[in-house]
Amino acid sequence: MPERTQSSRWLNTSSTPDRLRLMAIFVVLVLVGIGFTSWILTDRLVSETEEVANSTGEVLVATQQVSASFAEADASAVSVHLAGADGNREQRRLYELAIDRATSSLEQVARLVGDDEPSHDSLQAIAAETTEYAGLIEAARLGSIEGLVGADALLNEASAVNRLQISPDVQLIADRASTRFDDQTASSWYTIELILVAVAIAVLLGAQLLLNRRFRRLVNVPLVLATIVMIVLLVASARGFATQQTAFSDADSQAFDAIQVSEDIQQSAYRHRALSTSAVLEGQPASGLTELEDVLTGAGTGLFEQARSAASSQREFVSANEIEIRWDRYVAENALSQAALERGDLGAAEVITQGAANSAFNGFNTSVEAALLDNREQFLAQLQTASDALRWLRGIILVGSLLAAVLAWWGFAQRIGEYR
Amino acid sequence: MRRLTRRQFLGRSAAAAALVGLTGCVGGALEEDIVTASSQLRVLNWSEYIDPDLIDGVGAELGLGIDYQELWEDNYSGQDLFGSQWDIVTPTNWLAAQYIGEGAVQRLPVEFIPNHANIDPVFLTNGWDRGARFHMPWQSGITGIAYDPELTGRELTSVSDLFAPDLRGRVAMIGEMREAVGLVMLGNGDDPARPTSGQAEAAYAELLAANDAGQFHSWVFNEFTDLLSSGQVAASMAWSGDVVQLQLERPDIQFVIPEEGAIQWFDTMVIPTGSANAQGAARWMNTFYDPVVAAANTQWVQYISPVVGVADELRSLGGEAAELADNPLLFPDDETQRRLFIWGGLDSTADEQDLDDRFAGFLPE
Repeated sequence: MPERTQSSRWLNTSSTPDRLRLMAIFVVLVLVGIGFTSWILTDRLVSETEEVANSTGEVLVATQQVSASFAEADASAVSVHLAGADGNREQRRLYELAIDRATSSLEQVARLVGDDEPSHDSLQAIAAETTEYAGLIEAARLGSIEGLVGADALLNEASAVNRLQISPDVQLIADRASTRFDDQTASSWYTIELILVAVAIAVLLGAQLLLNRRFRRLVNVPLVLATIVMIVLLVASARGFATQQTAFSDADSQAFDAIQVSEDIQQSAYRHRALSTSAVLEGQPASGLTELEDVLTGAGTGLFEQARSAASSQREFVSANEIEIRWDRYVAENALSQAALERGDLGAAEVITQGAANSAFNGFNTSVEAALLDNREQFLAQLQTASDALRWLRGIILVGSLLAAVLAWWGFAQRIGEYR
Repeated sequence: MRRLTRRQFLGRSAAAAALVGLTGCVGGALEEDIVTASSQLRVLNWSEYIDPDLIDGVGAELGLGIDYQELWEDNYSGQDLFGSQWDIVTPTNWLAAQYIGEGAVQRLPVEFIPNHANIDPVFLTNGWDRGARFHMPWQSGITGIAYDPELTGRELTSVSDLFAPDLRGRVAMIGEMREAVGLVMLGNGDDPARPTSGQAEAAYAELLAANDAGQFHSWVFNEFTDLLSSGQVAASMAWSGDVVQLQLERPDIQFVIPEEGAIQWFDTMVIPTGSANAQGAARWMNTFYDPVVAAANTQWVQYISPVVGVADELRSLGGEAAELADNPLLFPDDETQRRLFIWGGLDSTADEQDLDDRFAGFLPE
């Protein structure tokens, strides 16, 4: 090893106090350098973790709420439309509230996505599409009241805007947030920090070994204290990072998985609802309903079964059961409506669709929404745990390293002092 | 019967306030989302709002000692609830919304309430608690118009009939701000489920003007049934459940949901933050959301049950119970339900409180 030879030669050419001073400066510089580097790395990790907790996670949840709100708006709008000249103020109110909620969630997303251009582009598109959607719904409603022939087509067009334009744009934002979430939670800076702290400990142990051999004393108390401080920092860092990683993992594997299953349930259910209501508007039984029902209720692979499997608590399990019970009620009512269509009783089909089936669907939708809110709280709480696990570390890593540096200098100073 | 006379109300309010003062001394840790449990369950409800046999029956089934009191009158502030130590209280929907906003009640431990799935969807879409994560409706009712056709000499069909000159001085009104103002708002074409201050103030002004002009015989609570049955008034704002009872003696008395719509209200079970037995409260709620138990209670209280399956259960019992299942005042059909509106609350709680205070101020003692 040429460096070692060179170093040994260089050490042998100086006086012992000088060599000790140089060693002390080296150790102190290493500790201070590692302290600052670790502080910077931890700060970065904390920032990323806080962004996950306060921004990315919120965006992921808010996008689900946007989807749910538009689905409810769609369902209510159909009921209002089918009521025709009679109107249906309750459903009209639900429609308006749903649009308000969707708009509010979109505003929240806009505040939280930061400078992600594609997401902002999608938000702008959704804003325009929402205006178009609301305009078509209003035109259809007025047309329905006046008994105009094209009113049903306008309503179908509005549903198509929701399904083919708004939903994909919302999904794009959700996908980007999901990718960000994966990137931000996969950061490996903590490994580097742990290695650096371990290096600092090794340097301190090496320094003690050297002093022991030179001065034949077993213990240099300040250096031992410095080593203990660094070991405490290593353990604290490891525990903090472990807590953070566990919290991320829990948030991902428990709450977020449940959120994604809920989203899948919503998408299939809304498609089912859209097909059913379109069928009533067209006066023909819908096709494709059974396939969607199988996606939701299929034995072993159905989304409801997946929701129960993803449940990490009895509370979630009971909520998943409630969603399925309410879905079954909706399907039963909807089947009556479809049966009425099959026998050509359009009037009965309309009454059921805007009445019992709509009410049952609202029950289903709000139960999914309630489960989503629970999952959201769990998800955000776990992300907050991840964030809290590191916040305090940022400060102590710097202070601890500086303290270790002072102690190390003191330890060397004791030995240098013995030469006076 | 759900409500008391105003005099009873004031008297019991004082008693309840004293009770709050006493129990408030007990204090307790504020534990949210920690499912507390004990062998005692303390339930505070409106008077005559449960089949008495069910109290001990359900208690025995759950293995709980039930301390059931009928002193509830919407007279607890959210702050009062914190230290009250009640496990279940039953505020009216608008007050439950306030409690939730104030954090005075805790999220339901639904892991103990599989029958949460039996809440009628009508009660799940309230903006203040979508999906009913914090409350479970106890009973619901409709505030509409009851009248004696012989005294009115004609059918009443509209909110405006309450203000008709031919009924001047012969109309009783219910002294609940949200129901009276809400009903007049419906008459004005406004939506009490999404009230604005301007609309509510306009309705209040109409009530005030009509009152000053001598349109109303009196402002009452349950006593409207006495006034109607004795012929002292020809028409009244009326609670559906009380009219169902009244019609047993006076089947000629009519209850109408005005063509503009009517107000639906509900009293709802919540678990105060700091309850010592949230688990017991959840199990109590779960039991009363079993359609069999809910049907038994509906037979007794005769208000609208918020539990899915009660009508089928009543039909299966046959006889008088089955007749109840066909009563539109207990089981409104879809067309009727469409014309019922639950008060949505003003955007500003302070504005609503101010209106409430002014409304209470002009009511006669």
